[in-house]
Amino acid sequence: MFIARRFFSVSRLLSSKVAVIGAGPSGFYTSLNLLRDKDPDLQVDMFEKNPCPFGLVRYGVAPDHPEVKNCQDRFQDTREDARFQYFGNVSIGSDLKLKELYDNYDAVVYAYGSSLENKLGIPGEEDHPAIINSRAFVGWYNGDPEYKDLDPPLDKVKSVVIIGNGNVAIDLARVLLAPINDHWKGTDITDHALAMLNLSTVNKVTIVARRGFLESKFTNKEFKELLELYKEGVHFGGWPEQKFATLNDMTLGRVDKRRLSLVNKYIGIASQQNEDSGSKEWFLDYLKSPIGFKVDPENSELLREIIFRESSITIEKIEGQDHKYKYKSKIEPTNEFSSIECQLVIPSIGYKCKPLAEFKELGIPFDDKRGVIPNVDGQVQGKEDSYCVGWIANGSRGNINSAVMTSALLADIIQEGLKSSNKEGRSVIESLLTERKVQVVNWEDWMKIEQYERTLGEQKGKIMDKVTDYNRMLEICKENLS
Amino acid sequence: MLSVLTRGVVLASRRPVDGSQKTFEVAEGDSILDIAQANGLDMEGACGGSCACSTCHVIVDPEYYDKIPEPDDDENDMLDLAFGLTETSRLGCQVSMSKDLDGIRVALPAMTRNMQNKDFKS
Repeated sequence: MFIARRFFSVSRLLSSKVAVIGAGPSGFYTSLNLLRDKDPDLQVDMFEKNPCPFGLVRYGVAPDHPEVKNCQDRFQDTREDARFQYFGNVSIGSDLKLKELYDNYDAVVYAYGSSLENKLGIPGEEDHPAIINSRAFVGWYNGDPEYKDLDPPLDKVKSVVIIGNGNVAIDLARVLLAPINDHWKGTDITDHALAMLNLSTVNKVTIVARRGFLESKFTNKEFKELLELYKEGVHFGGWPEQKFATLNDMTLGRVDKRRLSLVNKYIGIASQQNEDSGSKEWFLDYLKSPIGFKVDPENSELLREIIFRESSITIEKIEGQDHKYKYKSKIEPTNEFSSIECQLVIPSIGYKCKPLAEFKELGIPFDDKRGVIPNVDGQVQGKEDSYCVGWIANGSRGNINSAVMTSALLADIIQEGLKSSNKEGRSVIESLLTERKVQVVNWEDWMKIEQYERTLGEQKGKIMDKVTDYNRMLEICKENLS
Repeated sequence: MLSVLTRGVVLASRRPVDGSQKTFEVAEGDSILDIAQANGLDMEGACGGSCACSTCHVIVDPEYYDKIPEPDDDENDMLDLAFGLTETSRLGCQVSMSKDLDGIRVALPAMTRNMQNKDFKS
């Protein structure tokens, strides 16, 4: 008996094991691509600090964009492959040490995205109740447990200023202004958000960019969607076109040309509409950098206005490759100031990532200023067998589209460098988690939560009703649902 | 019939690997995305074919490009975000097979390393 056991342990196969930290699109597409390899001994284990997977697909994508969430179906293809395992409600740093991952896996992939927001750096930003960062606001309407009690005072607000020019800014404008009655019907917007939107008195939103029209980061599809709300009484009020008059004489690229034509088209429509006292308006504004806020003297929990320093712009034509021209905006601060009257400001200027606690100790570099892990093509600089993908690697740009591509490329690179060893992988990790009494949420458990959310949703006429409490999620996992 | 030139990935440290060409018998009305996925080709349709992403981007053989009904504004807006956009690019989910398109050839865009962040319009 003894001899047989010794033979067994010596002849155990070498295999490759990968730990992926983060269950958003980057983590999933990287895993799916790694699993294309037919190696039967490959192991891919995914660790996610939340009980629920899917990251910003669950908590970032707007409720009225359900088709964008279809990628979740693809992510759940991993259920079919026993070489993959999802470990939800497991936080690397507390439930498991990062070092334990390195001890038990042949490669570690950082795909955990951002958890911090970029700041304007203006006094009041951190604590005034009417300056609400986009991260919190989006989390609030999307059911993120961290923000369910946000309670933005939309019933006391008429004018909102959004600082930023990405798709999140457009989402926010749409959420603030879309007519309540039909727009959210059937979607998974949280009940608490819908209730507040029903009481909302917001009728003016200004989306303010620091730079110029050519630097707008929102995409034309989302922009057009907002413009089209004119059919429902939400009108585009205009933009500082006199500052960008020179654009009309330029040969712009496809995307910019289309954006400009959209603006011109919908301004034309707006001017034809009759004045409607109940209608809502939104504006684009440019070349403004916020420098301060004024508080409402009659209600200190609201703002009265936001103050800007104006910038000037000159747009230069630069010759690029193949005699193609590029336009470069030169933007400079001036000594002119302006203000916009508003009661609520939502900074939406991007997000930043944090290092994990053991990075220094384990020699994993981190760029604190940019909030990313320094890397070359996803290979972490100066640390072997370590990779990163998504916002932790590139900063908070890129969406599901780019995740598909960067993940596929990274999986290739990982495969090239992936070693085989007799590291224990899953079996050791599972023992550690059991010893530490961590309640791991696996795929079956997640399906219980999902089923619960769908059933509750059905009762309310929604596609699903998100559970907004971590403890409740964990309770549901333990229940035996019939 | 639909011929697909599958993705050729250019690796920095090796010579380029050319994709192979595969041909399929297809039914009228099937979208290129449907066909690719039914046949296990390397095409993600992240949004499930609803024109809300550009992961099913294909490059159509110029000979066949004009035979396809023109893309609408929504498709154009998504195509604008596709990496490696060409004059004959289309979204696979928006192109359905018909008798006019019999024999059409499409290529999956190659992904290359050293793609920079600025290549991605988010």
